[in-house]
Amino acid sequence: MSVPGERSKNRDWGRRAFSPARRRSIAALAEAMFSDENETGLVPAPAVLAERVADEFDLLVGAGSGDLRRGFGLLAFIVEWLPLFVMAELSRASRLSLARRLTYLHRLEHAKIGLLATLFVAFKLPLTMIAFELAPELGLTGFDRTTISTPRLVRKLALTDEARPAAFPETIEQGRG
Amino acid sequence: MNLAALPPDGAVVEGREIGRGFAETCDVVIVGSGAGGAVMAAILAEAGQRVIVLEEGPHYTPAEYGAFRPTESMRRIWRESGLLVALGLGQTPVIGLSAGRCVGGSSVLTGGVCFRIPSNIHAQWVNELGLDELSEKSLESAYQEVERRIRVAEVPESMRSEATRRFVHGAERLGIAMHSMKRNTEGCVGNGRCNFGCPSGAKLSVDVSYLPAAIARGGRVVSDALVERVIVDHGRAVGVRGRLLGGPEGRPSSPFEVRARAVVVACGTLHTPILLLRSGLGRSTPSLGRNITLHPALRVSALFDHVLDGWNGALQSVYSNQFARDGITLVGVYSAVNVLAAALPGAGATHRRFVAEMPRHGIFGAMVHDEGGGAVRLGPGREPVLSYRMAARDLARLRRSITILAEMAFAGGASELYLPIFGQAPVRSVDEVRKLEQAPLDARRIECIAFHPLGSARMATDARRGVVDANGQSYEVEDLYIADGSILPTSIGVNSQVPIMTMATRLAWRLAERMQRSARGTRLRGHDGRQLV
Repeated sequence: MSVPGERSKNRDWGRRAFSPARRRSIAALAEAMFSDENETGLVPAPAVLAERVADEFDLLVGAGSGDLRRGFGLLAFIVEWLPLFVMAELSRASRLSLARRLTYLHRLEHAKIGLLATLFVAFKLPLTMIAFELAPELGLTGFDRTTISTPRLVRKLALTDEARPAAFPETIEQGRG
Repeated sequence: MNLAALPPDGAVVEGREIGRGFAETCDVVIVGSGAGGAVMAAILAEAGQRVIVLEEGPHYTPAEYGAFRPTESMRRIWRESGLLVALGLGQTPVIGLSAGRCVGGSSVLTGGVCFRIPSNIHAQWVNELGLDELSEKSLESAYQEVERRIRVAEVPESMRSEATRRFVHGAERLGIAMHSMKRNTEGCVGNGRCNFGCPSGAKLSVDVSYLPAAIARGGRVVSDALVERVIVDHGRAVGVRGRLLGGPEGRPSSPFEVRARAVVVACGTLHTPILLLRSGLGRSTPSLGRNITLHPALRVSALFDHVLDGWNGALQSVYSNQFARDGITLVGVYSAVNVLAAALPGAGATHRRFVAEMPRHGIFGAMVHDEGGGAVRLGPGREPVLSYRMAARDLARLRRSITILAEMAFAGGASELYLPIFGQAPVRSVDEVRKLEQAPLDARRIECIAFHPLGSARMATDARRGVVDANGQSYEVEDLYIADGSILPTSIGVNSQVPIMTMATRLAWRLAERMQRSARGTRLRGHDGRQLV
């Protein structure tokens, strides 16, 4: 009899949705979406993060129906070629410089046409969920459990009246063990 | 091969591991193992009927799905990997829908919230729709049975997160009454991520409440079993046919067929009409697949001055029906932090700055009791296409609810709000939000989600207005029953888990009686009084 972890692995078909080229363009999107700034300027998201996000997004969409896979394939194609119309720039999104890619994402998000904003969100939501559910990105949220699936450890606190916030008389706190 | 050849080990039969098709007979075959199907299965099995439940999705134990990361959960047990949307027609937001595709169905993904159908809705069903058997009084014993079996209890105040308390504080300052919710949990410690599977196994979804009861009484539950057609013979449903999803990459493989004295379809509001349409039904019930209500919902994220760690507490613990007359229900809510991070505006360093403030965030939501402008159609593949045209009234309600939530947040001490409007910069005053409510806005910029699609195969007093009669039996085909959210006659304005289970309980009691009468030789009669056997 298989153990739960093994059984769980066996249930993942591992089906993919995107071609390697499309996966690279999604990784380029992730590289800009999760970039940062420091005193020297823009810092692209680490390659390992961008590749993990693209890979898991591929598996996520791949687990859906053929309709979903084809739909996202089309959206990925559109988002790759839309700089021509959004930025009047004759370039694919993945070939823009990091700064221009960020500008492109910003313009999509703030586009007056609601559908363009929706296109941005169609990628931003799943990519961000994937990025921020594992360390080190998860740590940025301040989430204080070991993993996002770690059950909360509860202990009732015997708060003194001085320590208890006046407006919120009952408190349960997570144990940090 | 038949299922009896498999060891009766008291477990779910894993369709993908059978390796070959099967042919089986039973008293009742049930398509779908969610809130409707599981309840039917348990009650009918306990009444001595031989029951087989066929579930398209895979089977995972609570220990397995409780350990999934959120996107892993979406990939494995959510329909369309959690990326399912209703296509908005006209001035309608694109609405993200959550639905389960696993043993236990969407009940595995709920926040555990348990509401009865509001009294005024029951009254509407009786007085306006003529459905006398759906009065509050008629359903009382079914409600009690469901609430006993899934252990519905009020969420204690101590389980409210600090974030929820801030909103409640704001609501109280505005004179908005908040009430504790009821939920179906046992041993909930407030992990704040119920929608992705409870890490503590505390939620009593139907895979841990009803289905084990069905299996214990001899019922068989088969996972990875996609039913493609209801078999109809001389105007009577006599079984179903489909394929096990056990081939490479989840492609359909071995065919199966189950013959039964009664067929119960419980695939949910989106898939029940599709199965019936693919079976050549729907010609004499024009409302099949139409009039779908969704309860469009949204949430507002608020930044407070102090650290709240809003993930520590019950995902949902309070609600307000103060605005029920305006069709708005306010609900306390949270979610996994990565999901909340995804809803914050911006990209790159700007987004990271917002994410870093998440320990100080509180979230609150609102849900609209909608008119119903949804329809499902056969798509190019096996999934349905869902479209939704939001009524102008409902769009106004949605926008109004943003303002109400903002007022609560600011009254509770929030300094900045992140509204569910794509590209909207954070707002810092109630006045800003009120102006936004009045300003022109492309509805497709509103971030909208829905959890309760209902009403695609409505219960009605005749076939022109609905698809099933008051016993859940199809107007078109004898011995075909529907028992899921699709039969609810109107939007209900509250979470649909208990209402679906209650309706299914009543239908199961009725069907069990009919089956037993039939077994004793009493002749069955259809909804029109015609003799069936």
